[in-house]
Amino acid sequence: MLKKRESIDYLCEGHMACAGCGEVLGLKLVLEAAGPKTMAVVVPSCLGIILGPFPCTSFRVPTFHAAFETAASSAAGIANALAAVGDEETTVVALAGDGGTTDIGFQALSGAADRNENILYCCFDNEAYMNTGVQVSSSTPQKAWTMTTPKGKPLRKKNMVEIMGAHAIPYCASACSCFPGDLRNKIREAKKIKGMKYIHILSPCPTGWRFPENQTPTVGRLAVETRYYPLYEIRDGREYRITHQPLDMPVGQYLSKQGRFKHLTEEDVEFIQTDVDRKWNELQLKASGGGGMNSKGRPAP
Amino acid sequence: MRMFLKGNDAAAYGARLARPKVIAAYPITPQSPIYERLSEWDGQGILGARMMRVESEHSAMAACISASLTGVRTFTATASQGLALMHELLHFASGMRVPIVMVNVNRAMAAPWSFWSEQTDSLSQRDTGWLQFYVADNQEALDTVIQAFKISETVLLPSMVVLEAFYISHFMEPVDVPDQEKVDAFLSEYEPAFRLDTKSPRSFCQTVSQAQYAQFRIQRYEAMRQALKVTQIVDQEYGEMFGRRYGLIESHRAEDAEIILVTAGTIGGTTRVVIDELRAMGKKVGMVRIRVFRPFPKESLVRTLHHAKKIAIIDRNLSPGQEGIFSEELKSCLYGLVRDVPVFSYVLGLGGTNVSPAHIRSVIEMTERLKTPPTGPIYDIEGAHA
Amino acid sequence: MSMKYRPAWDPENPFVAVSSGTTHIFKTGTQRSEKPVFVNKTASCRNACPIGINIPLAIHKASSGDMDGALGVYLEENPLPGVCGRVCYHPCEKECNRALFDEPINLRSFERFVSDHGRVDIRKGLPLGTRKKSIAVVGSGPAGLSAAYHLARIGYLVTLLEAQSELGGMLRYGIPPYRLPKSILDKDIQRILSLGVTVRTATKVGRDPAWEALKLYDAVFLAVGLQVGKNPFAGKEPNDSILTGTEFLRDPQRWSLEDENQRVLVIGGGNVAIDVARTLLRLRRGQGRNITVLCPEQRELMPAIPEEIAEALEEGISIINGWAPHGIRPTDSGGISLDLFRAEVKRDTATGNLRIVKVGEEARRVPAERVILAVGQGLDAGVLPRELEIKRDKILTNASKATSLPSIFAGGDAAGEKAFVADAIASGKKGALAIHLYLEGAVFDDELRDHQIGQSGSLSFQHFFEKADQPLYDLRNVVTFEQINTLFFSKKARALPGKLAPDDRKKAFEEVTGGLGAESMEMEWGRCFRCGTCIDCENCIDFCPDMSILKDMKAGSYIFNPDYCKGCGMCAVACPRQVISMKAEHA
Repeated sequence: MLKKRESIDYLCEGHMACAGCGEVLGLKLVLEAAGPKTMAVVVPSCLGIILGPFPCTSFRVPTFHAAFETAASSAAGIANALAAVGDEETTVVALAGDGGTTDIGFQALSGAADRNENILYCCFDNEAYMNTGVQVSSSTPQKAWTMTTPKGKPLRKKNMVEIMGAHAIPYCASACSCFPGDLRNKIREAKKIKGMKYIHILSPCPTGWRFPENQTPTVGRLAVETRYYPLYEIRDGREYRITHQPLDMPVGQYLSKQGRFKHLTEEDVEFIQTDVDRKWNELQLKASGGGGMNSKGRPAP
Repeated sequence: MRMFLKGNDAAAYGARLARPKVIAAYPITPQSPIYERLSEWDGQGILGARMMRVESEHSAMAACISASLTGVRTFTATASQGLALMHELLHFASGMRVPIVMVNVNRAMAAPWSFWSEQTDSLSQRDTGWLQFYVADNQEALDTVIQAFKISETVLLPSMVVLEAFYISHFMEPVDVPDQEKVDAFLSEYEPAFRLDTKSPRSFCQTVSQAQYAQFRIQRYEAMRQALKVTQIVDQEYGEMFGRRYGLIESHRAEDAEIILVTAGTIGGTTRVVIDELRAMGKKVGMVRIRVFRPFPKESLVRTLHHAKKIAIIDRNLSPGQEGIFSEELKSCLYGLVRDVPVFSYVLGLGGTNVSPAHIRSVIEMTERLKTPPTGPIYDIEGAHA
Repeated sequence: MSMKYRPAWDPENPFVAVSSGTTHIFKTGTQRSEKPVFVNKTASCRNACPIGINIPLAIHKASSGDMDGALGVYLEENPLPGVCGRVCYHPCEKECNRALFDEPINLRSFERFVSDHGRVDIRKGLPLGTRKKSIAVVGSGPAGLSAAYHLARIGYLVTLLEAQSELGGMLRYGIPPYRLPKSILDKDIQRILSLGVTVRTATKVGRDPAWEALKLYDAVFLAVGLQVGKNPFAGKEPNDSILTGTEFLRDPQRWSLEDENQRVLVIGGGNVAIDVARTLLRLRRGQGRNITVLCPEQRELMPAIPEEIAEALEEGISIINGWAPHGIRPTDSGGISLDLFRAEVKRDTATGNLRIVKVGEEARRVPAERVILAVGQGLDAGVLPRELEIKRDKILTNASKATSLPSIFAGGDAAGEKAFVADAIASGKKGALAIHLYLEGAVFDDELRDHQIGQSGSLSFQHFFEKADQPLYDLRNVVTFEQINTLFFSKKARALPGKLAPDDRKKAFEEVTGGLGAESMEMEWGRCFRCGTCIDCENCIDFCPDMSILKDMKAGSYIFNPDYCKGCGMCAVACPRQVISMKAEHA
């Protein structure tokens, strides 16, 4: 006997995401966890296409498809309007891609964080401008191929989670659309908090990362299990908590699955592994309250 | 209540009396005092709006648009570079048919850097689908802000109320600040025609087809055309309530004038004084001040100007490759409707330089003297742009 | 007044881009070229289990809080879960896919836990006694008990005939109580008898009654076991100092072996030898200095279960490997001495059998008071019908358990089955099904082909008698480790049950190995991959970007939505346990 499915989908079938899309997995989970009393802002990105062509929408919550740079500022406007009429219940979510967050939308995001606007900002990171055909963004990982960096991106990925952590907002987290339980927990956690919440959701993209469309779950899991993309939370810019203990596999297992990395040499892979190791150690230190501070951000005895 | 106010303060009072629920703003000279006054009231707990102290004008407009779509009355203010930064979103706001009211303090556009008055910043935005009002004094600034909310909320298009840097923004004048109750009676609570609603979830601003887009554009155009009538009705209602009305244009002694001088903003005030002087000397001169620039008051202008022998128009702006923008718009509206009245296009006050009564007299004198207008704008009146 | 100029809002014909419909009108299912198929498959543990128990299903039920359901899964195939939970050699654990990830699941402890904590009324829903044919089962060891159980469940009238005074065969008279407490055995047997099986103990068929008496029955299942301990010195015993392991274990107290000063040599390297040694140790209240196990096999080739050997060594039993006896002679003191040669065991390349081979010329002579021979068991052919064909000391049967005589079938040790409890139970079930098909006039191979589990040859009783609303199973398809998506699991060490300390346990017959406590058991079954079994984890649903996997609550299984499924195949990859596979759209 099957148990009745509790989760309700706030995304309709019939949307135009690519087959195998890792981003819409995360979107589905975000909308489900946010619930019916939600207003969403979407900006140009794959999400804008997934939203659907007028007059048919795939979203079951009121949504505004705003200008590219304005995910955070538009969401903040809605949040303030709701507060002005005394609505404390409705959750306002800003949904943007990596380009709309780390590049063109960065200013508005930083401003909203600075003002501690009462919004939940979710960045769906497929690590390039995918909607427009795989152009590089500041969220593209180092050495990855894109159409505008055919020899591989020369410099490292912008670390949005740490940047948002440095804004000392109440809640900031990294998540992955292939870890549904972890992502749901984080959205639910965020919903409880009044103020600025930021969740960075790694979204594997078979089209742009160049892997077979059925491999999205594996690629997403490997990203985390190789510690390439750790799952963790930062509260108030100080309290770090790792939310998933990785299986600790070599990063080559993740990279070798993707065509965008197929040009990497052994040296490149070693370079990346060293970088991953260093970042993981730093993260562990922060999560254990090390570096001279305990986990509450106070000097350790 | 009668108060001695700077233009910025008058505008701020206008905004506060209209009871917006969300205000998003970013400071820029010479708008900053508006932002500061609103913030002061916010600090005192008497503003009644949520103040969003955003990190750029682009975010200010973005927040106003989405707040307005959520169903509340919104207001913002900016100038020059800030307005230009908002440009993309000005199209967005009118495309979404949100009734935002914005005060823009006309300030010269960089480069080079300048703080003083010029109309180019707001005129550059004339195709974005916003109503534009060019006020001549502090009282008109306050009154027009309140009127703008009612007009916008009727035709569902955003409005910008334009005041000149320093000549209005920082000059003090006696201003009649209306009572809140009277303003409430004139401008009732905002009821949006459509809004983001969790009880009826819909998506706003999806991608449309070519034909759908064309349809929306035509509908917006018709709404702007409708705004001519609505502006007049609202102005009349305002006059009945508060005793002051302004019309789409202000005409002064133009009925039997042979030379009519057309202008906008504070230059209108200076011109009025000169017209009276010259009339006292027996010259048949008159003046028209264009108050509403968008929608362009074609019929009113044609009716008022058609009998003139000569028309002189003064622009406080100069569009490279063309001429003064008011002149260009005026000529296009006269075409085919008024027999060949020569229009003499003058450009004065660029960069915020002073336009004095002497300059106006020179304009009229030159207009009298010249048989036909030169091919381009006249900007080298003696003593001008100094 | 001015408000009347405001444009009217009609959501179906808006003047602003505000939606009025959903994307449901776009049937994205037209894109796909492959579709997901949901079919349960056989787990590697089930494939290895001679009885073919649906272990992952049992684990799924236990972890869902349905311990009774879990026991029910066992009882579909195996009437002796209490017994197996104590003494099975757990081939399932050897094949457990989890072993290739971290460590195998402690499945024997699981069977024990389920059997101890679950409660099932096995009579429910069964057509007991409705088939008016009667069957005699001769022998109540694991094979006979299993055959009786399954035949009764099918609806036949079963009579169980047992030579000894109590039921159980080797389970009672062979396996010592410190491995299998009698209370556990009795509980399993009572459950079988509750089906209405007629029992006649102290009844040795072939002696009294004679075989002809069995002609009254519509069919007979022979599960007489191998009761005769082999004695290579038979006829040459110098005195009473030799007995066989089977004789000893049947009644340990009978042989006056309590005196710890008596030197006893136990010959043999199998479970019987170990059981004999450890039983004798307990009889002597832990004084084991005069107990020695002697076998030709090297330590690693001893056929006894390695765990048993290890426990024996912990208890201080000495095991001497690589020696075999060739002669025996009496000593003046009334005992014997054994002549030994250096030996090893080698596999005969021709026959594949193991045989003892002399190594070098080394020889020893070892004195002892008693010798217990545990060198194998043979058929008590003297009590079988003369016409019954015997080959190499086993009742000859074909693949469907039929003997050379019509309506007589055989299984268990007597029919050459592997000498383990689980294999005996399996052969009893197979025999029951074979008898059923024989009585129905059906062909065994045809009927049972679809109920074969994996490639192993074990059968599923449950599958044979399944009702229409059972979830789809592809029994032949065995899930390998490579097919498990291990990225959905974290590593965790295996839980081990506690054991009594050797110095304490060797003094008495208390059960040596305990069960797992509830917390450890939960953690342990949590580690199980549940290969090939849909456990309603909803992972595929979570990983479907098109909301196209749905639950058919009535059928109790998952289905896909053909209107919108784009055929991306993520569900098949996201199913950690290989329930979903992608098939061509137009296949």
